[in-house]
Amino acid sequence: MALRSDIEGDIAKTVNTRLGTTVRTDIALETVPDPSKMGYSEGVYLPSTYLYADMADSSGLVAVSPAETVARVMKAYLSVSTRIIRANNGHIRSFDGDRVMGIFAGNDRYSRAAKSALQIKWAMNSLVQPAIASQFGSIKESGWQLRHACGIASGKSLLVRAGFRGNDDMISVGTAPNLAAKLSDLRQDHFSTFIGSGTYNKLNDAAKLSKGVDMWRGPFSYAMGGKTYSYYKTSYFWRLK
Amino acid sequence: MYPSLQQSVQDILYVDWNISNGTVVPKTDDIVLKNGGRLVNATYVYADLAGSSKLAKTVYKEVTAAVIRAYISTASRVFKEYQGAIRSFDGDRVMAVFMGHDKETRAVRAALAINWAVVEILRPAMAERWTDFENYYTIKHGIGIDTGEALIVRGGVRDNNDLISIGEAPNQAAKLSEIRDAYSLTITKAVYESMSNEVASFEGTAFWTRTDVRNEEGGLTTLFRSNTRWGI
Repeated sequence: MALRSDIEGDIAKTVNTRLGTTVRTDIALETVPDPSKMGYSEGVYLPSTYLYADMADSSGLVAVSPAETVARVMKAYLSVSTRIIRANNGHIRSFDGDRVMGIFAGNDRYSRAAKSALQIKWAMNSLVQPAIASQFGSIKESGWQLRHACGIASGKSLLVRAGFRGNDDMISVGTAPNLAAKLSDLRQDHFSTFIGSGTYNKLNDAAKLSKGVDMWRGPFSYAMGGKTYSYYKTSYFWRLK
Repeated sequence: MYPSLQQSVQDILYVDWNISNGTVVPKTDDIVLKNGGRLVNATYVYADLAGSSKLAKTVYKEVTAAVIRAYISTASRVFKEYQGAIRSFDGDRVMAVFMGHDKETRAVRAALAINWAVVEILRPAMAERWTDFENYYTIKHGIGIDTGEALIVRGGVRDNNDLISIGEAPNQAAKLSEIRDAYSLTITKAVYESMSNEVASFEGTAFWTRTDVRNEEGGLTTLFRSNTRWGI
């Protein structure tokens, strides 16, 4: 009975506590709330851009390689993605298995997120894939390829602290986090960066054009939760120096 | 940044592992980020709230946040009650790991209890709090369970890292939790065969339905499905 009353208590607290929400108005600010410094009944409406980087076919890798090899590949994927997102002043707010989520705030958040995705693509193709194919016999023999996709979407999302495990968990409520996650699940051959049209429309020239030509194709449409969204995609990469 | 990135990839690919066998579910700090690992025999459970994208568009975001929190906290409480360790949390889903004696039975018992709580506690609580809530959203969810060997390592970089589980069981459990149909609970054959009869049937009648689905290799995978609720 204790469990039942605990659950009822949790739910009552959750639905009856009024969230004290604030809206961030300084859109130049590039920081993202730190959940460990947020109160449980606090929420922030943040104009933000979400990037999900998702490694494809880890089940296929599990089927052909020993667990130690799979672990190295996944660690390389997570580490490279995290470093690139942070180098572009994005903030990592979630890890789940073989995917990473970063949040970008500030004026040029659209372009920094897109640049991150293009750099992640370059690093996976030019750095990680050759290294794992030469290092691990199981990968070379099976022909397993490191594929991935990044999904990006922008909007004003509500960030609240979760506080169920550790102190660093956060829930993002809004279309942008959901759409970014769904776009990162798309698998379309050499196209591996998918961005919502809201993000595309705000890209600066560096993130939009290559030698004067638009790198992005679209718009295409994507159905989610009973509505249709438009997105753009590219197969371009961005070389790291 | 390129040289440091290349160095970190080399470190990850070449460093010698320090892997030991685990008898309890490790915490993040138990695993060394650089090269630590635990080989475990464990039961993985993912509990995944359905339709939150749609909900986020239909109602105020505050209401969506409350629903997600209520579901996640309910699932977490129940997992803990049956000695499951919560090890991942991402948006509207929560993952728990069960180890030790009766791990499959406790994981399935927890799933039956969460299914009960969704129908008997969560839904009425929402309907009471927001009078027309049920007109636009019914709380639904999916729970997937698989069991087997997994390697737990730590992924990411300093200040931004978390445990990752490698193996078929964590992958399968996550996938099975995403099924959306009349059955909320899906378990693999390995779970079904290891769990005790008390979570398989009631008064002599089995409450799991066997189904064979075509897998990616073209063969058949046997799953057991249920929508049974078992109160706490």
